[in-house]
Amino acid sequence: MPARPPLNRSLDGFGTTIFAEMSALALATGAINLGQGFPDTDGPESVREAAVRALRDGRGNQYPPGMGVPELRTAVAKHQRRFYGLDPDPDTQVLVTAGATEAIAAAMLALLEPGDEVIAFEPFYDSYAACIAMAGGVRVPLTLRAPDFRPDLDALRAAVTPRTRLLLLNSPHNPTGTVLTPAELSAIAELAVERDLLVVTDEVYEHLAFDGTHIPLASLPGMHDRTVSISSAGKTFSFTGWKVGWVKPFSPAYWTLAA
Amino acid sequence: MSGRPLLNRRLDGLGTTIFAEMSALALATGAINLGQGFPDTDGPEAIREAAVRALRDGRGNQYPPGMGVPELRTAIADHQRRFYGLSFDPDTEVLVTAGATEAIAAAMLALLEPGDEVIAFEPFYDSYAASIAMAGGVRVPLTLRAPDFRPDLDALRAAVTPRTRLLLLNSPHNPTGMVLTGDELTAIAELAVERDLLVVTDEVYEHLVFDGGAHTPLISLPGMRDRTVSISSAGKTFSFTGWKVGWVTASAPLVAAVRTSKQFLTYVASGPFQYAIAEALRLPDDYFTAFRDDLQAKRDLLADGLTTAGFEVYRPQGTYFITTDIAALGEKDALAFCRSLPERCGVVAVPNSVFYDHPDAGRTQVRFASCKQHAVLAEASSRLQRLES
Repeated sequence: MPARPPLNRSLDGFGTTIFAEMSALALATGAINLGQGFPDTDGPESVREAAVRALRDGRGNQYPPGMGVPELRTAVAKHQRRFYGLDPDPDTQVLVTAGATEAIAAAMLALLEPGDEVIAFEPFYDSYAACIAMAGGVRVPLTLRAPDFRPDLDALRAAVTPRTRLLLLNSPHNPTGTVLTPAELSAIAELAVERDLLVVTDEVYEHLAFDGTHIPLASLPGMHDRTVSISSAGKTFSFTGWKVGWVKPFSPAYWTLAA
Repeated sequence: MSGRPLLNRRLDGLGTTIFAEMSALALATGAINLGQGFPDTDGPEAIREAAVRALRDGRGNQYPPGMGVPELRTAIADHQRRFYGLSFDPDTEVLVTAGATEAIAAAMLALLEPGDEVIAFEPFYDSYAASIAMAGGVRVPLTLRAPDFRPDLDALRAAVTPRTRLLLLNSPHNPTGMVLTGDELTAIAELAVERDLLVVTDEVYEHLVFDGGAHTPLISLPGMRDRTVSISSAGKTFSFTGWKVGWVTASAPLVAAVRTSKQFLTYVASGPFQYAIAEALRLPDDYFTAFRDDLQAKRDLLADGLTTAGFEVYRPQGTYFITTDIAALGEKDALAFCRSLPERCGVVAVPNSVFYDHPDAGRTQVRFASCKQHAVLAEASSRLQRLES
């Protein structure tokens, strides 16, 4: 074994997630596991059977196109029109990824230069910190505080520096359940335009906004060309193991990052 | 739109791969696509039905464990014992990934510090350069030269500096088909031990070594067990490239390091397919032998066709690619040749020059994929005969 530690310094401390530890504890004790966020019931049988048909018809058994199969890209575009009135071009503005996790990692690795600052709500999903670190970026947390976990927009404004490259936002928000209001979205959009920032939005719980609706930040004035909107099928259709996510980027620049 | 360029400088120039361009050309012209390396026939029906059963039984429809499902990790460990006599603990020394591509990216992102040097054979698979760049590493190419593409071991030794962190090796080698010999593996292992280097080995063509040869994992050599990250995948061996099931076998500390970055790249992938590949890895020897013999026959069919058409053919020892030289046809530039080939005779290939840091070394080399049906290869061969006339 070489003398130097195997893991690089930027990933130091990211070794084992709390989910692994708690799931092991659930298994060892027989406790009910409300730790990890995946359903204990699979999604619709008709969707499962659509996967069976694709397998048996030989659709997707070999490498699909790097952008994703046209059928899915078109369906993602139609979903955006149906629910949000958005109109992405399925050929150039939709990219299929291995879940939202890969989309976030690819976005950070593509868009950040070492030393760039990224503002993200805290508490945050653990992959955010690791992805920013792998890209050599600097994480700047904006703390959401109990009891209502609203973002402090003055603090957000004050957190932007000349080194700020992008905002990494998540709404509906894991773990607090905060859903950004139209007024908050407007303020964030105005700030992004004023300070010329990119925004990456993690919208995987888009169909789980209660007592209200989800509004994609990309639909606000000035945001279409500076927002990378990310979502996935896992949460909405209860097939988290299939790992199908997508991006509505403004540019084809990082297609090839879809590993 | 932000004023700064969107893509960071490390990834500049890696925007669109040659495969995308050539596949689009194939689609536009209706040419036979021997550019991209995936089979035109799916793998065994029994394995496909294993995936159907997993889907219907609700196995893998939700997040599998981060390391991969236990059934697959055990099957991978058993495969390493059966074919190579290697022993890995399925709980700590085997990691399932979203194909070998993710494994390579995760290894680079985990093991490299910015400025670390990585020595890799060129021509190389294009994801190597991108993965090293994303990790802030520095690529140091070791050029494999025609006609036999053996690595120059003196040059390799000379390429190692105090900044060298790891060797990224690929055998059987895409695109040249070179398979490292026992002597070469021994020399590489001795060098790695002497200079205290890690080695990452891409072994996805492990079951495609022809002419009675065999693949030997570098990790099986003395001193290598604790410094090698061995990577392979199911896509090539079982002809289900779309399922994206790959794996890492290595010592527990190295697996832990690679898992750290891997869990944030895709977290997990390919839920139901993990169960199907667990069954595939247990197929009887007949499957592996018949698969290899079939691909060897296809290599021979296409290699003969290319020779008759006037190409200089570097007959590969393994993989399902054939590298050729077009100088014998009076051609000077592989990229221009490949762009004109669909119109000239209805076949698509890719220029090896894009796999080099020193494009001159591969200026007249062109790669053809031989993993297609016999009839398709025969038709492609027949079309290529038009070139000389």
